[in-house]
Amino acid sequence: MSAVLPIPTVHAPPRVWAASTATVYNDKVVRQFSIMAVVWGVVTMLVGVFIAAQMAWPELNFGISWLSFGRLRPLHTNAGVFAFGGCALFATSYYVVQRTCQTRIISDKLAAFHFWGWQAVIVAAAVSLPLGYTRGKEYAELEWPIALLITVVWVAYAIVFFGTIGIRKVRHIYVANWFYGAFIIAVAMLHIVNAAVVPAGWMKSYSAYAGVQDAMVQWWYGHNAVGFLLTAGFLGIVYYFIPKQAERPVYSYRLSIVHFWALIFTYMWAGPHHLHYTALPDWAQSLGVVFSLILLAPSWGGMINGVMTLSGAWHKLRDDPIIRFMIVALSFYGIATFEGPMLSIKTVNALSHYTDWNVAHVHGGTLGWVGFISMGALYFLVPRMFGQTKMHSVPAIELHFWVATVGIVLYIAAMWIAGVMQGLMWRAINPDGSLTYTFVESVKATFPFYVVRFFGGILYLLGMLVMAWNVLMTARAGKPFDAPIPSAAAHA
Amino acid sequence: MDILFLLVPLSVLLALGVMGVLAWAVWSGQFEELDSEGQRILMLDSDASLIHIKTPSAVDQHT
Repeated sequence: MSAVLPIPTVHAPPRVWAASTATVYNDKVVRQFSIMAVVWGVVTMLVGVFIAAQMAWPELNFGISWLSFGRLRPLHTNAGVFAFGGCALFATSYYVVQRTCQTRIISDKLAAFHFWGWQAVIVAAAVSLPLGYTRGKEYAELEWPIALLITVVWVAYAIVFFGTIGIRKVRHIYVANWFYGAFIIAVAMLHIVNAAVVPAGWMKSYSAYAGVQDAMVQWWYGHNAVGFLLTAGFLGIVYYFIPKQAERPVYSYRLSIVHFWALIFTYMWAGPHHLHYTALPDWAQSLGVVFSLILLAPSWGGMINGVMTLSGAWHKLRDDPIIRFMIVALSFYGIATFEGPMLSIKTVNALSHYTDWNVAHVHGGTLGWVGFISMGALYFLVPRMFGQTKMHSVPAIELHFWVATVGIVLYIAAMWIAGVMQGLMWRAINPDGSLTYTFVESVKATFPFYVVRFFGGILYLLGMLVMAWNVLMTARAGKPFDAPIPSAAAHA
Repeated sequence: MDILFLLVPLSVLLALGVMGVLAWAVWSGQFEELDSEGQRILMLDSDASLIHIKTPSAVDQHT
């Protein structure tokens, strides 16, 4: 780290909108989003554990409307995707865009508005969802005033992110920024289209679309939220933080570019796989199948590129729990992006749809891929945000890794077994053609798996709490630190 | 399936937009000298905290 390294010649900087005279990066907004990512992570897992308990023991609704499963479930999903996932993406994207562009962000004020506006969105969700205000669309439950706030905040974010790229001091736009950029644009488009409503009161509205067409819009949104928010955005994290932590460049930079373009061209068309055997036309369903299968290729290409970055340095997996979080995250990404296309095949879907197999799939992707890559990146970021070189306790990172991994395995194994069991029970027919099982019998048979899943979730929550402690101790040991911008002018 | 009158044109516009961005990237030299670009994030002093900058000499190391 201290050896003098040859710096590649910087191309003549592109025409800038505004001269940047800043000497340090705006790491304050990175710090803020990093801390809140951990806070909302704890909230997400807590609500998740509670609703998992309710699935096994419904008495835990306590007869209180705002504690009921139906209202808390979207609180859990929104917290996981937008609060935890969102803050992790914002923290890392602001960190990466500044350093790869060798400039401070274009507007501190807009970034601050982004931060506080997003926290306001989360609080509004946390209040309105338990109170029962919902649009009834998965991952798009928030009523129209909050959806409007999201739009305004998102525009601010886009201006800061793309504006910063616009004033970059380095001609090349590092690949991670492409992934972040696609995530930002796609989410903007998805949100605006799927949030189109006719308001009928301050917290009540009706979708601009109807029936199966509304369903199509909803799942075009839903699957692309997975593809662009939960995948493309976090791949941006992979392409910066894994090379940095491994101290090796991305295995194949060329592949990373091919990966990017292939992914964003194919992801848009996979949405119909959520609507197999519904009123959606057959040809639309088949389109979803084909593109979901095609998606396997770019997804695994990206996974291999990330994992092979460790080529020649596999020993780091043994010694460094942070790189372990990141590489295991990619393994779960591989599992999820193989399982997904399989679930998209109509004959498989005929068994899996509406079962807990979908829950297993989602949680392998969220706990394993999104969770672990975020945690790896946050463990990289947090010390640097406080002028430290590493977290307060590395053994605690190890503990977190193992506890969380066992939790994930318990969770998804329980839900896989439950899901296949449910699918088989629902389709079992007696010789006379009548159904063998009633629905409630399948619910009863699932009970033990709900209990195992609950314990898996408790472990994952415990891991998150260990992380929160470690982050707190690291922050207290250090002081908020904004890194200096290496002077690009010195190399021109 | 009237929704297709919205979704198909929207998707075509989006695909055209994406292709436009790709064309810009190729034309403006984004894909030249790729081998060094992967290395660059490791070379530049992105993590100044690691050398606890207190004196200018630490920055001069990289000129």
